[in-house]
Amino acid sequence: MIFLRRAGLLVLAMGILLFAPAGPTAPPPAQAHPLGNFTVNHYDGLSLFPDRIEVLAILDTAEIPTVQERAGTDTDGDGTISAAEGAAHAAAECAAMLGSTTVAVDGTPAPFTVRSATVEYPVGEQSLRTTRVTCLLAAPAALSGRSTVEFTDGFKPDRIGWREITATGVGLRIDASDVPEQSISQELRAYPNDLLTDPLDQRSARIEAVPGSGAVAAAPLGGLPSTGVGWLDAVVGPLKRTFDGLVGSPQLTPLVGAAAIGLSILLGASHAALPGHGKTLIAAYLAGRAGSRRDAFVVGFTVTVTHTGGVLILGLAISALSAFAPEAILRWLGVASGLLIFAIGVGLLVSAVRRRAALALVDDRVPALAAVEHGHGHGHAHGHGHGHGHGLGGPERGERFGRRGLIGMGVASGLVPSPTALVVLVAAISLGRTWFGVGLVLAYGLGMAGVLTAVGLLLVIVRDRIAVSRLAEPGRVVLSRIASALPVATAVIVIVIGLALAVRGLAGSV
Amino acid sequence: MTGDPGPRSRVPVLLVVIGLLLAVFAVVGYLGSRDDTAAPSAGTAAEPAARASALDTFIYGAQESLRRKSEDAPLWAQLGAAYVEQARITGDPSYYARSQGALERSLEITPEGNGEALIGLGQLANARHDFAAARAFGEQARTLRPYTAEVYGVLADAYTQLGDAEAATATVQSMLDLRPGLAAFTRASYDLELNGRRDDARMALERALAVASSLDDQAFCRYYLGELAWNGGAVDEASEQYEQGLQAAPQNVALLQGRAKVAYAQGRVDEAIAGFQAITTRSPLPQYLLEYGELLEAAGRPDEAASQYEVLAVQQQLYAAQGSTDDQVAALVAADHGDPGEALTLAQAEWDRRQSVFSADALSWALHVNGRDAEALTYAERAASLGWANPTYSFHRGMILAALGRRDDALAALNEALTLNPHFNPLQAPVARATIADLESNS
Repeated sequence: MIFLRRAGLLVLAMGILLFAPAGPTAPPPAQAHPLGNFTVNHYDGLSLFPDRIEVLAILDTAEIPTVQERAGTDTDGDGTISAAEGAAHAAAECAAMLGSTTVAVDGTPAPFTVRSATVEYPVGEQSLRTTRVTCLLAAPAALSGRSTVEFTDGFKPDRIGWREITATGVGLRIDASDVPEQSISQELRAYPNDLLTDPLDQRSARIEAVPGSGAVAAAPLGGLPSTGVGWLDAVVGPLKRTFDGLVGSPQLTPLVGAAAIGLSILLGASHAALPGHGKTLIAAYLAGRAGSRRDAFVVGFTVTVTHTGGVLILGLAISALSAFAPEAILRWLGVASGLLIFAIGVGLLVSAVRRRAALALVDDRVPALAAVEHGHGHGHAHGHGHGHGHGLGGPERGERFGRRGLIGMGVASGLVPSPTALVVLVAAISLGRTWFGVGLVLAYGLGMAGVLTAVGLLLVIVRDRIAVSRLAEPGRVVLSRIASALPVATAVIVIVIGLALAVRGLAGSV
Repeated sequence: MTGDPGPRSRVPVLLVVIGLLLAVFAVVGYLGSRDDTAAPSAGTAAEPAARASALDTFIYGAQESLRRKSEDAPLWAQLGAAYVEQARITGDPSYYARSQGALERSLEITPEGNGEALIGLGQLANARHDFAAARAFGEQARTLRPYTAEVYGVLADAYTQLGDAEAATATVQSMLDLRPGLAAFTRASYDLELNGRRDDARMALERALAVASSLDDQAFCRYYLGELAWNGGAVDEASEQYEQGLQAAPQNVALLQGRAKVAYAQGRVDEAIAGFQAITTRSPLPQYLLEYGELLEAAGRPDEAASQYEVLAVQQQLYAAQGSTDDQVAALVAADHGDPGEALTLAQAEWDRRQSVFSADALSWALHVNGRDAEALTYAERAASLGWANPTYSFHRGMILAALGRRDDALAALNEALTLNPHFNPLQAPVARATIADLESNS
């Protein structure tokens, strides 16, 4: 029964892996000062307007430096800090910031002025005071065209502390940015307490701004707001971020480019290894007597061509559309594709469940293989006489497949474009890097073809070389259970992803 | 059925499929969770390249690895130990909290026989000056990992601070036998210095420097070579060691403190004050605040000095609230700049916890400022018992002897302090000279 236990563990592990990323979306646990009582923490919230740049600069000074500064703040030396003394302190701090906080638009420095300066003294540990100075800085800037904004915070560089920068566009679109839009510390009010993360130390930012409305960000999916449903975001988020991160980095250096292509190949390969797309089906056919090594290449190649071809066509169509269509349509397209994927998932699930039911009736001498044969594919490429309990003993077992049949099978299994590959392409296009996106998708296809062909070849070779002895009876039963559960799990994952995409699209359009 | 591929040939395929499925979700999930927790990763991702010490690289790698494989108990423990080291180098105490979290995580996964976690907890306890706890962790770890050098590092530090000099020396020897590296040589050097063997201590440090590979390690050795020279009154040599250390690690606060001390000894008072101001801005640790205050006081700036003592008091308040068990510095501060009664309470508490030369000296001085010089002398002699040539201890003993009217012994002790290092303390060195003059005129 070790197989069953292992299967249980695998399912568990998969569940953990799927839902673990949901953790961080919960409110992060907070602590008073992440770096102890002697930190000075900086936050700069940049807002880019078409005609100016505003910075909400917050300086959160912990207990010890607050005491250290007291002598300078308490100018009349009466031991307390009056409102006037506090205001003077805030004004002085904000003015001092101007000297070391710089912003440049397309390389030209823009001068900051202080719009407002306030101070609070929140109570910290041991009823001691801390200091929270809030400055609003503004600099005129012409951001009506495509422009690059470079920001540096060099204020109090010696002080140990948390340093965070965010940037948002108001009336313009942020095309690329090396800082996030939202503060993860709630503007220095709650510091994330993550054992695996060093304190944040962001001292500069580089932002590409383009005209347009602020809703669509650097990535097509990234621009859509979160659904607010933690587990949904957890499923869609990783996919989105992986590719957005790849193609969305502000500078496309050769290294980043190569890494992106490498990862695309890898993802394509893993994608091919995932159940679905009829790959295992094809492999199973090839493993039968009739398949030759050449067939393995043919099938691998066809699946890949149709697969990436579909992605390219759909992606280019979307991007052509999006050039003319308003954002809302783009969002509805997102909803539509989500629903499409959802429908496919449902189809998969139905056929998987039906087949499981059918399997139960089958002579249990062959269940494992029957399941492997039937359980996969996006609901396509069936109708080759499976699902009827024939298994290996079925009539087509001994037949040699015609080349055309093989190609047809490959085409059918590749027809539905992989949503992940599609995201790569659309993200690249939205960044004005269409050809890079096309290259990535081709790399993705290459990885896929490699694995498919390899699996096919492996099976053909294994079949040719080894006279296989039969497994003991209990082992086969267990294997068949694992094998028949897999398609159901796959289907569920596809449904979830489809739903999540659709809900995201909806949430974005409302 | 001979040609039937049979179920078995499908097994590898099935396993490969499942494995790759998991791998993909692992990669995707991990990338996702990374970006979720934020921009920190974005910020820190580039960092190892910017200032990649071996420690930074290790921490970065371990964090990455644990995000993917969160059940690796030994790696959690190693990360916890690395955070302690990082706290020491950066002066950033938030790493202590991270270290504790990581070590507790390791123990959660492997509660029994987890030697790595015990070693890490011992290092953390030492860093937080909870030496009794460190000794307990170290002794537990020794039964589990009797051939691991780090165990003896934890124990050597704890025994030294707890005043068990013999055990400390024996433990350092075990460490040298197991792994004669940087950690063993620097501890051997300290042990030798405490036992009055200054030249041997320097040789040990020079060997440590010879095997120090990273810049941070070199800076660490240079600092202690500088301290050794400084405590022997060799200001120029100390200066050279500090400066060489600063070339390796320009931001090292301990070395900057060395430079500022040298500036004062060489009569560059303003430079020394500016140096200490920068140091206490960056790292307001009690020791630095005390030295800065005393420097300001000696320079005739009592108001600014008082501000430093005030910050120091707040610092002590916060430490006490966090359950710190180190009252030694607090006792000396209270004795020299505060309330004598409080000084005695603190020093007595410290002595009850550990009977080391350090706490003996603190108690002797606290008793002296309370006028109990007869008792004070017992502890002052205890502080000198190992033979450690420490000018401050000699000064304390000399002042106690002078108060007891033992003129010749007092003169000997005070002259010893000034011979060892004429600049040992900006406030106390002049007091020592005045007392000597006083004693000699009254002969």
